Amino acid sequence: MVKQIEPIWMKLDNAAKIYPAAMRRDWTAIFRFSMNLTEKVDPQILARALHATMPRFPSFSVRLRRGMFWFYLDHNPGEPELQEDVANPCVRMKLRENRHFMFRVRYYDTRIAVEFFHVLCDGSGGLCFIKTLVAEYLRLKYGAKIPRGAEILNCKETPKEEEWEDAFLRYAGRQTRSRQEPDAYFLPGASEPPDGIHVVTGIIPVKEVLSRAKAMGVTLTEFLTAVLIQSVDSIQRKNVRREGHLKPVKVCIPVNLRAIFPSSTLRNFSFFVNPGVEARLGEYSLEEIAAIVHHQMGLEVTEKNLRARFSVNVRSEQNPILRVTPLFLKNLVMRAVFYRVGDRKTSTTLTNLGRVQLPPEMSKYVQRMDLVLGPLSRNRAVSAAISYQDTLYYTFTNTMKSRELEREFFHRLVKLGIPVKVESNQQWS
Amino acid sequence: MSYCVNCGVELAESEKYCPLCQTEVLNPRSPWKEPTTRPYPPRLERLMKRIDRRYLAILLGAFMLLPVLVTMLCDLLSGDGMSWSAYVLAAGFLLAVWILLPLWMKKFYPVSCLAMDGLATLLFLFTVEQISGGSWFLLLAAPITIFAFAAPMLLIFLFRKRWAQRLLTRIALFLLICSVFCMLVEVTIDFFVARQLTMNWALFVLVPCLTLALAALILDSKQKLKDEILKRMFY
Repeated sequence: MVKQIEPIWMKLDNAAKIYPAAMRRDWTAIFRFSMNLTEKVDPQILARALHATMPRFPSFSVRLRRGMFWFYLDHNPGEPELQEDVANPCVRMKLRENRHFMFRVRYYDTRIAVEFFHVLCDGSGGLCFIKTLVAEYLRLKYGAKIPRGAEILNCKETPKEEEWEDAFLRYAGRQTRSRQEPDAYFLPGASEPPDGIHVVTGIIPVKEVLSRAKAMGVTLTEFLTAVLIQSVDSIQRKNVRREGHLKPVKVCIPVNLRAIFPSSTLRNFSFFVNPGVEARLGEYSLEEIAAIVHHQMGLEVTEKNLRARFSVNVRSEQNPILRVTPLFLKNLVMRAVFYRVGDRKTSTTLTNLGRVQLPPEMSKYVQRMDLVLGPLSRNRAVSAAISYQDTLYYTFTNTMKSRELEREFFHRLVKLGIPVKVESNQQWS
Repeated sequence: MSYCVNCGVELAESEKYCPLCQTEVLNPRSPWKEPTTRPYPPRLERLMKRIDRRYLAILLGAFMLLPVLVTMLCDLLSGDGMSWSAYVLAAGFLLAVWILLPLWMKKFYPVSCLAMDGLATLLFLFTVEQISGGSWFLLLAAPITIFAFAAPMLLIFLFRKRWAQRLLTRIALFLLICSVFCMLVEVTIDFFVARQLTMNWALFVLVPCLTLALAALILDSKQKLKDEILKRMFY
């Protein structure tokens, strides 16, 4: 039996602090994991599975509250109501309508999906939650005996305090590094209304992509980033006539810091790097872009560089003047900084969660996994990738009327000889 | 299995159109059939529109009512009945028609709105004349107001015509209507002030406007000339 721990309140972690300030009536930073099972989902069993999972994740049983100086997370008993899935995933989350929880569990046909507000966790924490939730569901439905560990938590175990630590604070150093960099090219085009979200998923054999990436001497993420940069660059060249006016094309790549700084936190502990090319210098071949991205990633994704970069944010948070500034003023400043810096430095985002492995006792029930990144505040077309059982699921989320970026990207993969199968959320009747 | 002839990607069984380029799937060997389940359910999560315009109209109306009522009360309590507060009442009515009416309308009709605004302005000026005395409304204020509101209404009406879709035609029309408006204003003022036509300043507007309008129309009718200019002025 899981030992009940005292209801907790928590400070927002360093990366989460910006999201409540930046959230709008029609936008919240959201991402979504989903798993497709072999049979139709039973909502009653799913509700029981959620009930069993929640006590193991005390950092998810929280609601956002306003303090005098900062937002904070307060204990929120119970669990969110299950929702039927919708055609437009990752639409802004109205916390009041979700019993103040910052994640929502949705189901449709054979799919279980969980959408997380970024204040709560990053991709690793979210993946751990959905894996545990689905493992509980399979245990209740089929009596599956799924081995538990660090990735699929044992719901009968008492939660560990290090699972809700703010690992940024633990690893922040004294030395910092400037975040200044030039603005990137902004993909133009008319926007859909805030609830109009286009989702297109490319289903691609991993070995085909991996063989092309290896031939170029780069990783799968670097290869996909290079193709994405080339796609954005070609759109820019169609829209901007004068070469001198071409802006840098950069892609935001989130990096899981747990791989470099050991931590078992389920909250945010990831940072980002922005590899890209200087478009005004000329048109690049894919091999050139792949080499540039490979070397930029090599330079940026190092323990010392990442520590110096996230330490800037930690040090600003610890600034005594900022700390005693009332929340409403702090919000105005943080919102202004978010809109000035935010996603202005990159043209789009690619988050690759890599290959997800499940124990055989679980994988025989799980057919497919998807990761969908909600549209960003300014960059309206973003992408996310996840590999499961030799298939790469590459999903674009787009709130523009045009689907040019997706087309450029998948068309380029096809031209490289990589077979791509696409499916979408488009409505045709 | 079907492929998009335009993008080269394989399309999932659920896709009737290529989601990347909207090309319809036409595979004679495997015609598209409605799948038993789609990748996503058909239900959309709708967000409320940012601003409820009618609610905003009521709110603004309430705020506008406040100074009108306060001034009327002050005026009435001073003992001479309603005198100077009639100006505030008339101005409040004018603002209500100008601001609240477009907010209240479910769809914005610019010509109808301009017509209502014109009528409200006429009523406001008439009230001012009645309270303050004088005989300037009928011969001066009314014609100028009518011209001032009729000019943009005519412009919007003409811009909707198929022959007036090109930019240069629209510029020519704008200049023509501007010059006619200035002429009419001067004629009205001349008759009101001196009962005779003097035509001083309107000609200085009329001549350049007509010249520029003519140039725009000539340029618009000569495609070769337009191409030549674009070629010589490329950057």
